[in-house]
Amino acid sequence: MIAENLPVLPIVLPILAAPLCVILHRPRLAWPLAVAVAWATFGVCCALLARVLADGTISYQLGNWAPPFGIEFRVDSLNAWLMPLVSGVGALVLTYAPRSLAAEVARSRHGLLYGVYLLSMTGLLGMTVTGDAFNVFVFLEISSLSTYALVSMGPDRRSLMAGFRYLIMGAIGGTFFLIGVGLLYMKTGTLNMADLAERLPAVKDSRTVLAGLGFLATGLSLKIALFPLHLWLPSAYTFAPSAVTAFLAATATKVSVYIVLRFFFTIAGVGESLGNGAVREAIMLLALVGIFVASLVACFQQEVKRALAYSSVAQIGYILVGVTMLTVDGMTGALVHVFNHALMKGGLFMVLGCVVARVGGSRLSDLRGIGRRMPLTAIAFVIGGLGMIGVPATVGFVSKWYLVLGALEAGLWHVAAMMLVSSLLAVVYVWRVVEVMYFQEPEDAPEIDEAKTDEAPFGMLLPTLVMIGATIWFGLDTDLTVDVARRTAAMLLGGGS
Amino acid sequence: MKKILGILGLLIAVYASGYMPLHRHHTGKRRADDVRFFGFLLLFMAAMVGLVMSQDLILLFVFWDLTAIASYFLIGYDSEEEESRTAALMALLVTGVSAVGVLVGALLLWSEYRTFSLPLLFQSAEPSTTVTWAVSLILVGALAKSAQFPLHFWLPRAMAAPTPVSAYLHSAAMVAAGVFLIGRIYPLVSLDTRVLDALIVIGGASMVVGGLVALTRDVFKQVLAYSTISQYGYVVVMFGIGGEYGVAGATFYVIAHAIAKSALFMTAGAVTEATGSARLADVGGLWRRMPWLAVGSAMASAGLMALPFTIGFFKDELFFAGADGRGQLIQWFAVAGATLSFAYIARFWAGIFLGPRQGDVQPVPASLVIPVGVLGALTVLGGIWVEPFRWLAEQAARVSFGEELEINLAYHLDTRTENLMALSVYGLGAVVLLTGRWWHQPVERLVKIGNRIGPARGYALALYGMNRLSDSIHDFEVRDLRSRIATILIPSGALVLLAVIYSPTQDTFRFTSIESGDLPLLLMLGVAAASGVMVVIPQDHLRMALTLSGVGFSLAVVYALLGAPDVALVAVLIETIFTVVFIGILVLIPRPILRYERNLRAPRIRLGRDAIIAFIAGSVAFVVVWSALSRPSASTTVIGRHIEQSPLAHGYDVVTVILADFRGFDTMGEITVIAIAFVGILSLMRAGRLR
Repeated sequence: MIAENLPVLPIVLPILAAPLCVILHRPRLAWPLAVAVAWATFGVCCALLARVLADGTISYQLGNWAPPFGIEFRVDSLNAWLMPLVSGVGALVLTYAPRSLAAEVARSRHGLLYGVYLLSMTGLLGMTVTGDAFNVFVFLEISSLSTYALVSMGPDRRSLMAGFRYLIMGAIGGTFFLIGVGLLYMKTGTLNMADLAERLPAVKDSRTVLAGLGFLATGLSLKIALFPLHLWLPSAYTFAPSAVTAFLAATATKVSVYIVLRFFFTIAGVGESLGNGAVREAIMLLALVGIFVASLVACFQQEVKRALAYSSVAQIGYILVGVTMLTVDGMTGALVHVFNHALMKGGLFMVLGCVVARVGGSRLSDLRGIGRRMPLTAIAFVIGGLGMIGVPATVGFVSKWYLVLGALEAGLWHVAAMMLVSSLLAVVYVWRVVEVMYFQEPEDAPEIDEAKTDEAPFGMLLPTLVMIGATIWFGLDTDLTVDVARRTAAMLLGGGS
Repeated sequence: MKKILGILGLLIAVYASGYMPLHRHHTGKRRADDVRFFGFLLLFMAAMVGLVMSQDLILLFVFWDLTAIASYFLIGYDSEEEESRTAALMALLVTGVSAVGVLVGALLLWSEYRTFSLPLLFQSAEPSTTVTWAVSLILVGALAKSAQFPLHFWLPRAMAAPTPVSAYLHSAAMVAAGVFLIGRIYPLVSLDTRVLDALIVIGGASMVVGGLVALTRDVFKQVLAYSTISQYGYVVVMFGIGGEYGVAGATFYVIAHAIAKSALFMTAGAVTEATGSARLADVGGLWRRMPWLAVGSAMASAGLMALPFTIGFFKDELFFAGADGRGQLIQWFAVAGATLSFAYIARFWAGIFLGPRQGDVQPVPASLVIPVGVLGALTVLGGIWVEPFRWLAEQAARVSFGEELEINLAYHLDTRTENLMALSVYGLGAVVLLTGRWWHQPVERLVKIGNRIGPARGYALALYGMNRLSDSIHDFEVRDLRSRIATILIPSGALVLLAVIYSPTQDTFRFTSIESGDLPLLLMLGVAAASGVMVVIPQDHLRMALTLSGVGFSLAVVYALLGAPDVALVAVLIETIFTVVFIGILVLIPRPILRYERNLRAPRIRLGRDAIIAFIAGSVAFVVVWSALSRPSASTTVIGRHIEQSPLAHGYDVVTVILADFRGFDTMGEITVIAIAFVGILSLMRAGRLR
């Protein structure tokens, strides 16, 4: 029975556990439940991936109504590899969460937070697994709303404001998405993705369809924080509790990127949507400008969380540049970067969470002398940072390699060069932090004791190191990631049109 | 090359083992920091060895960057000093940014020949614009690393590092990496004579600038740093000159210079440790107190001054021989450059060890002196028994040059051009030294002007400018919510508008005739629109709420008229609840806040702007809806099937069945959404109350 219902389990497990967490209320009870469920979800997702790799696409009919009349879950190689990523990062961050939250959120609200966190995970997984356009919107709402709640639970009063702003922007994005889906439904009369893909070519010339795709693109751009629609992201990431930031940074925008790929490549078809040269070039231009502007802003932030948030905006730019190249190498690079960036950025934010738990803040001035005080944490940051720069033997190098190759293959010289130059900006914003961690002493330096370190609690440090270790593992052993990504890229570019 | 590096590295490690405890003593560092120091030193060495051994452009680039990173930590070792931190960052930025040139160049070559392997590239490369561009880009990286004008300014700053670092990095290894790269890709460089000419110009400029500045500097390490710039200028010029003598000479020069210059750096460090001073003006006449150091560094200085019976003689010999083939101008230039280097090295040594005695001397450990002695001895030994060095240079040059070549190194007592040039160098050098007081002032002034408008200033300005830019972007982003939403809506509107404009226009924007039966419908739509507009006009909060509900109620009537009474009923219900809740909230809000809100007046410009945005957005929406309605909807929709199957799902009307069965999963999702919203609001309210 479990094997048959595999696709729906990643949704059912957390969505059932979430209210339980809220009801249990006490962190001591709620947390073990949440962690167990999260890891179980991860296991299910891995099994799902294994089955998709072995048997090909899986279709699951909810309520046994045959698609396109009922809702269908559809797992192919594009979303199968995203699900273990989302659930794995989610579970790891959740394992890490209690000690981090203890420093930032009132204890009475932990149970609530775990529940909402699981719901947020549900939403993201649901967006990934579903094969129904309207169902995407429902899960988008679940994930967005829980995200707003999570952000506004942050330690600072400003996190309320950040959550509110995120809500306004997110609501606009969600509405645009809904309008887009509505317009497509109007012209095709169906909501099932596979069915949509079949019916769209017949009506592709219609202005309504184009406007619908335009609305979809805008709404999703907001969700993936494409420059210049990224304005909600830095504040939300900065003021959310550290564990939440780590989870969101690693997963939320990635899933939205997946939705973009789903709608514009497998549903609308490459030829119809992005193939239109002007749109493709416009998005690529925006992505490139975004890379530079966001990196530049990141270089001069005092708050490290904010700097990393801006860097996320830049990294999204890399992914979209890879997507808009429309070459197999570029798409492979983009897909691998979705995976790799999730690991790196999640790991880096987890490191910052460790620092916050010990020092109480993550401004540059708080990080002084961390290299000595928390040696393992600092090393983890350096490794993650090297990944952001794209140094060989880290995941960052793998994705940049394919992105640059893709650009070369597409004959986009200037793009390849710009991506390389922009890596320098990453050097700057990462290195500023490293410099402060190792080279500056705290202002009110107590007598420095050589032997004494003040490392983050083990329960936080271990998940952080696992995450950072993964960035090296997948930087060296690229078989799995690149293989899946390449297959998927070929499918996206070959199958759609 | 590799061996030289290894030997030098070993000597420097010995020297550092003596130096670092003293240095630690001065700066109050802990023992644990030493581990870090030697760790990075070894990392650097490993990277250098990797660099010289790699035959692949990508691998080379990796090691290239690794040296930059290691050097960053080494230069910034005294991390509590602001100066050494900026110096470290500057070195990293200048060499790191230019390193991208190497990578882009490598990619350009790849695009042309589909390989990163150097031997394969040498085989297949032919003169072409792409190759010239690629080589030029790689050379930018190489020249910046070798501290060539105008990217030289990082090197003197980097002298903030502890002396062992300066000795190894800046005399032998880091800077040598740049010219090493030129040598490595020389077969590609020599494909285009314009590139070679550019090398001569850049090298010559570095020679002169470095030499002049070195003559005026007072701090030991600054003298040596500028002298390094100038002497690597020679090497670059030699590569530019090309030919057997040029290439072999360049290699030979690097070896000779590395040995002698390291010795001088260590001398500077030892003297500073002994006297506590790092300025030429504060020391003098030390040869009595530190005889061994004096002798060792005298030998090394003699090498750099190219006196006979040192290895340095041959380096100039080769230089002159190479210059000989390239006409008078280059020859004069060579003599001038050599004169400068003769003069500043002599000034450096004499300033420390000769003249009236100045400064107290503490005894220094032998490990600070011995490496100097060994290197000095090596310099002299190389002048007498040149064979092994010649062999080394030949081997290395063969790789660069691509074919067998033989260089002759021996003393000749005749009036060949090289000898005459060398003699004139000695003469001129002595003249320059003796006339010091005449030219010192003007040159110093020149240097000052250079500092004010030179490339270092450009670097500072660039950093400052970027900072400003970033700030302004950030300021732009953190304005009020209204502006943020405007920045979202404007691009969105533009995007949708583009979609509408670019789509085909057939069959869109149709009018149908209006019949008398439609009049009530039109009336209600008009009411809805009018209420929508009215809401915007400033008024009482209560009135605003009621006007807003007018939109909803009139739309409910529209549903009813369109034959959907159940939908209309739901709409009425929702609208009523909404209005009641809204008014309830208004009652709860304290009066003063409401009054304050009402009296707020937005600036006129903003009102205008908002109106324009709203108008455009509304028009776009209107156009989209119009065009959507002008064409028939899809003929076969899933709804048809839903209606057919409703009895199967044991339901009587399709809406219920869709909500509860066909798409029951969506309904469950939406219920979850509402639950989350509830929880979220609850938590927001509690957060608000807690503080």
